[in-house]
Amino acid sequence: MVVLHAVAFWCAALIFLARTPYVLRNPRGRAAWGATGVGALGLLTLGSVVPQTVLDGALGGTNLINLVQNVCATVAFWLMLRASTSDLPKRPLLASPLALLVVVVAFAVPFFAVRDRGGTDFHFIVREIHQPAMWLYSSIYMVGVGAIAAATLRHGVLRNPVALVVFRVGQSLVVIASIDELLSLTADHFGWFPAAVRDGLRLGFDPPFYLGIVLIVVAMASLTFRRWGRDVACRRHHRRLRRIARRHAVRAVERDGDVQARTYDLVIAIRDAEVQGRTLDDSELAQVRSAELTLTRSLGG
Amino acid sequence: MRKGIVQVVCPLRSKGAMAVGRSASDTVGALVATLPPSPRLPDVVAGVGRFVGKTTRVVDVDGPSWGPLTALVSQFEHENLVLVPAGAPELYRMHCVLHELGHLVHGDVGAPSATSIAEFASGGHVCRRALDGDTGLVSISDDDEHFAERFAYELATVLLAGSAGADERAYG
Repeated sequence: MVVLHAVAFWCAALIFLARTPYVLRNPRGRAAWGATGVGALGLLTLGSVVPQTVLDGALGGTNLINLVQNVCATVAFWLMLRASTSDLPKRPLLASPLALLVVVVAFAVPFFAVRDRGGTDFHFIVREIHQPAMWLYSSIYMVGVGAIAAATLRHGVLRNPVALVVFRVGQSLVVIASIDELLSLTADHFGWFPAAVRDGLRLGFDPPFYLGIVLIVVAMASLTFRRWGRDVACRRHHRRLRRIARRHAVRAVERDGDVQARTYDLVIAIRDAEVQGRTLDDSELAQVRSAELTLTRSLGG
Repeated sequence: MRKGIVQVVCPLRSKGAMAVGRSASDTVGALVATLPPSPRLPDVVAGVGRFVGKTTRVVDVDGPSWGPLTALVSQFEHENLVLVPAGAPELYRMHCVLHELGHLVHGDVGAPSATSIAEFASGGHVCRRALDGDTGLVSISDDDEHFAERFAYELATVLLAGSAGADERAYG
């Protein structure tokens, strides 16, 4: 599981860093970007990269790191719900900041009611699950995350069909993991089922939960990589078109803006020059058509 | 240096109220707000029709020489016709159509034209996107043409963002 935790952390952390320059220019992307950042922070608390004893030690060594982990996870899933519903005329109730506050307070209060949290322990919840406060803390957290993931699955908007499938599979795995964990916590607290079944339920949480997170991040990363690929292609086209424009003394509008818009401006200017009687050779025409093809693909099906 | 002869000849009617006094950016923003997410050119044509309160159609015209004309819009009592040369490259065609739509939302009414293409729009009042024989494309000294061209460039940016644009703004 340590490997899965580390993979999930590095996926989230790297995509968070990679998206930072773009988000500075695009405020609408901040929720999803924040989700990867806060999510990475939550995954860091699992101890696969920095030992949990070190992190929890800095907080007093009383398993407060567990609460930090769960708050980070809740906020990250909530930010993802915000990002995925930003285009909707009316967001689901869970996407409101008040809903987030209610969920966090609802599980933080029982956390502080847990008696004798002891020293740093990765299995802190399992060890103290006999306490009603611990059962409430962990169950309310899990219900919150599961409900937020389910709302994202139900209402989230993503237009790219491939990314949408990956994103939905990821969210579904998180929902399944949340249900499994809720059942596991309840079974452990009330002593339901034989020990082997309870162990199975407990072990059934990590694989779908962290794989789900990895898939959600991969779906987002695919959009980032797609944008990078298109920008690289447009920069290449833009360079070539500028050479053609110089050769034929064509002056484009030269707007500010991204390279896609500037490439478009050059295409229009060169096509205008053709109408005015300039003749492009075969190679130049091929380059203009290639740029047009790249831009036309962006127009969507 | 941009210099052009695209013109609105002898305006015959008062301008429409929708975009008068508004910048091209504001007009594009107001129009896009009425369109579905990730709009395509047909959505924009329909949206402009609603914007000006008159059905608007794009017609690809084959046959006669277009000369320096790249497109024109003819305004009839019951509909507007945007005429573009058949066979124009898709992206360029889109830009020329957007330019003509810019005239419509700006309330430019145009006038009868002597060009052979205008015969296709006989009886309508014509605005046209044309290019002079020198280096110019569209006059930036003519407010109507400047507005229409800016409108076209800014709306093209919205269309180029496409469906990927919305995803990338939210997640990418």
